[in-house]
Amino acid sequence: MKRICYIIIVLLGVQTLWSSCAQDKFEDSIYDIPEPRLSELDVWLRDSFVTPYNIEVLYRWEDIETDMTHNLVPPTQSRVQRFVQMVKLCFIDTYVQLVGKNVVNPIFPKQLLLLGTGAFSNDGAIILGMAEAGKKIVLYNVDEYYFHSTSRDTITSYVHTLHHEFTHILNQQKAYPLAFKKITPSSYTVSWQNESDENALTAGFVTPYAMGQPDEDFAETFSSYVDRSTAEWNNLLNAAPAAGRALIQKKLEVVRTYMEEAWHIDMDALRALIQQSIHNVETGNY
Amino acid sequence: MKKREILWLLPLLFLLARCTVKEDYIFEESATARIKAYITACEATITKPEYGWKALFEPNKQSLGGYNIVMKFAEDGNVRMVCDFLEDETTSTYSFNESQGAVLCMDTYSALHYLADPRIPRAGVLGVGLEGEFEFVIKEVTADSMVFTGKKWGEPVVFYPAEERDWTGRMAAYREHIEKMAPQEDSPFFRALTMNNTAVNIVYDPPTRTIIYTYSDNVSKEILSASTRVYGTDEGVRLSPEIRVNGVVLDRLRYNQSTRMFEVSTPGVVGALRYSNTPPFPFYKSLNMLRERSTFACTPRIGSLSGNITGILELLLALIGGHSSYMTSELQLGYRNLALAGMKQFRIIWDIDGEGPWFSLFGALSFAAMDDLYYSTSYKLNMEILRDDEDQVRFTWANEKQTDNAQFDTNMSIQAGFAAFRLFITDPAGFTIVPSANERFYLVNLADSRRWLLLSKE
Repeated sequence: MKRICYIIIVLLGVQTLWSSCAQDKFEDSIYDIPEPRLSELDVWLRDSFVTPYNIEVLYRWEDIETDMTHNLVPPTQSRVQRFVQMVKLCFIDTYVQLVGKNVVNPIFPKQLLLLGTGAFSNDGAIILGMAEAGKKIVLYNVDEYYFHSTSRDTITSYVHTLHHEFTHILNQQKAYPLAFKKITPSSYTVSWQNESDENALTAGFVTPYAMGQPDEDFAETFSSYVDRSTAEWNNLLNAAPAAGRALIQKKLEVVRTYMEEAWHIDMDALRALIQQSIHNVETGNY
Repeated sequence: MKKREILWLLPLLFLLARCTVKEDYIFEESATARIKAYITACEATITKPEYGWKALFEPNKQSLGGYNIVMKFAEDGNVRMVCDFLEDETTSTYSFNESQGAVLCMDTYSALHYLADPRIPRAGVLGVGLEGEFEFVIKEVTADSMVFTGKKWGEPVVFYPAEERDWTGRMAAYREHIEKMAPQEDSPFFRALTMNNTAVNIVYDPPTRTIIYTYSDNVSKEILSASTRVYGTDEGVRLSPEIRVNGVVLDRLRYNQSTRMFEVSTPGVVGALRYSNTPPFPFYKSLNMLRERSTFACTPRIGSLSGNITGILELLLALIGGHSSYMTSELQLGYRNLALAGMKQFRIIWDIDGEGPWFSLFGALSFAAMDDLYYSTSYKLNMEILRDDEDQVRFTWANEKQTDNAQFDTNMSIQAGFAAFRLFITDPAGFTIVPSANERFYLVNLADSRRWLLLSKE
C-alpha cells in the first residue's frame, strides 16, 4: 500500500512539473490610454484642487458617479469656475487656515461631484448635497448659483450644504458620541418634510431636516452654527421655546466637543473664518 | 492485481489533462481593443461632416412632440448646437465611453440637456422634464447616418449629415413656426381649425408640443377629444398622427406671413386656424360629461404638503406663472392670494346632501399650516342651463353656506382672491363647458372667451 502511495505522489509531481512547462507569451498591453484632453478649466482645477489638496472636481457627466434614480443633468461648463471658487474660499481655505493643510488634506473628500440641478424626489424633497463613503461630496444645483452668486442668502445656502456634507465625511471616519442620539431620541421622524421651522425648534432641532435622523441632526447642528454669525445664531435660539433651546444647546455642546477632540476644530474660530469668506464672495473680494 | 490496473490508468489521465485545448478566436483582437478601435472610428465619423449632424428628437411619442437640433462636433471635444427650442447657440463638450457598448455622451450642459432638465415643468410638476437624453448608445455608424438609442429612456434617434441651411435659417424658421402655434397673449379662447366643412377646437401646449383637439362627431353628435404632436417645418408645422375628423384627414399647416395665420396645406383639404370668441360648434351635453362619475371638479392643488419646500416651490411656480395653463390671468392673482392665505384647492361640488352645486374652498388657517387634514367652506350656487345642447350654464349666488371652521371661512371670505373667483363664477354672461383630454374641462366665459378656468374631475 505504501508503495502505491509513493508511486502516486511521484506521478503527481511529474504531472505538476510537466503542466508547468507551458509558456505564456507576454505581449504589449491591450490598453491604449491616450493622454487626456485638458481644457483651460481642467488645468485650473488640477492646479487649484488636485495638486494642493488631492481633490478631484468632477463636472463632466459620468452616470456611474451619480444617483441614477433621479433625473439629473451636468452643470454648464462656463458656470463651474465661479462655483468652485466659492467652494475653495468658504470651505477648503477655512479649514486650511484653521488647522493647516497637513492636517486637513487627509480628511478632505477626495472627490467633489458637481451637478447642474437639484435631485427632485417623489416625496417632494429636493436633494442639494450628499456625502458618500467618507470620500466624496456631491453638490447639486450648481447652475443656480451662477445667477445669484452675489446674494448672501444664496452663498450661505451652498456653504451650509458643503459643511453639512463634510460633517458626514468626518462622521464616516470617526463616529460621534452616542450621547448625541440620546438627547431627542423619540423626536426623529421620517415625515420631517411636514414639519415647520417652528415645530423643529420646539422639539429641539435647528431645522426640520435635522428631524430626519441623528446623523442629519448632527450635521445640521454643526453647519447651522458655523454658517451663521453670532447674532444670527442667537436669533435662531431665541425663536425657540426654552425647552427646545436647551436641547439645541445641549446638542451643540456635544458637536463642539467632538469637533475639538476628534479633529481639533474650534467651531467659533471656524465660524469667524466662514463669515469673512462669505462676505468676501458676496462683495467679489477674491 | 486490481490496484495495479487502476495505477496504469493514472498516467493516462495525466496525459489527457496535459493536453491544452486549442482555442480558436472568432476575432483576432480582444474585445477591449475592438471597442477602442470602434470608438476611434466613431470619433472620426462624427467630426467629419462639414456642417455636422442634424437630428429630430422624439422623447415620447405618446405625450411629447418633436425637437430638432443641429450639432457640429469638433476634434477638440467641443460640440456646438443650434436647435428649434432655444434661441441661442450652445457650446459644450462631448466624449465617448464604454458602458452599454460604445456610448456618445454630451458631458456638460448643452441644448440637449434642456430637454432632460428636471427644472422644466411638465404639467406643472418639476422633476421629470421632457424625457430628453444626453447619452446615446451607438447602434450603427455609416457616413450617411449614425443610429443611437437613448441610454436613459431607450428611444431611438438617428443623426443625418446637416446642410449649411440648417445652421443659417432652418432651425430659426422651425422655432418661429412652433412659437407661432403658442396661444397669443390676450387672444380669444377658441381656436377653430376648419377642415373643409368640419371644424375642431384646438388647445396647444407649448412645452410638450402637443395639441388636444375637440370635435363633434357628425353622426352621433358626441363630443370627442384626441391629441396630436407638433413638429416644426420650413413652411409651418406638421402634425403626427394626423387629425382625422368626420372623414377629413389633415397633417400639415402652412404659416402665411401676410395674413399671420396658419392655413391648411394638406392636399385636398381647405381650411385655416383662427381665433374665435364663440365656440366653433356646440359641445353637446358637455355639462353631463363634466358631472358624471365625479362629485366635483377642481383646480390643481397647491401646497400638497405643509409649508415645506414642495409647497413653497409650488407657490413659487404659481407666482411665476406655472399655473397659467389652468386659468385666465385675472384669476391667477386671486389664486395666489388665496393660496398664500391657506387655500389648497378650489372646487365646484355638484352635490352635498342632495343640494348643489357648491362653490367650495379647501385649505388651512395659513399657508404654512397646510397639511392633509384641512377645512372647507362651501357657498351654494344656483345653476341655469342656457340651451338645449346642455353645454352652456350660468351660476348665481344662493346666499347659503356650509363650513366646518368659522375662522377658515372668515380667512377666505375677506381675501381679494375670493371676490375675484366669486365674480368670475357668477358672471351673468355664463359659460361654455369645453371638454378637453384627461377628464378636464374649460369654463369659458360666454361674453369674453379670454376669461376661462380649467377644472379637473377627481
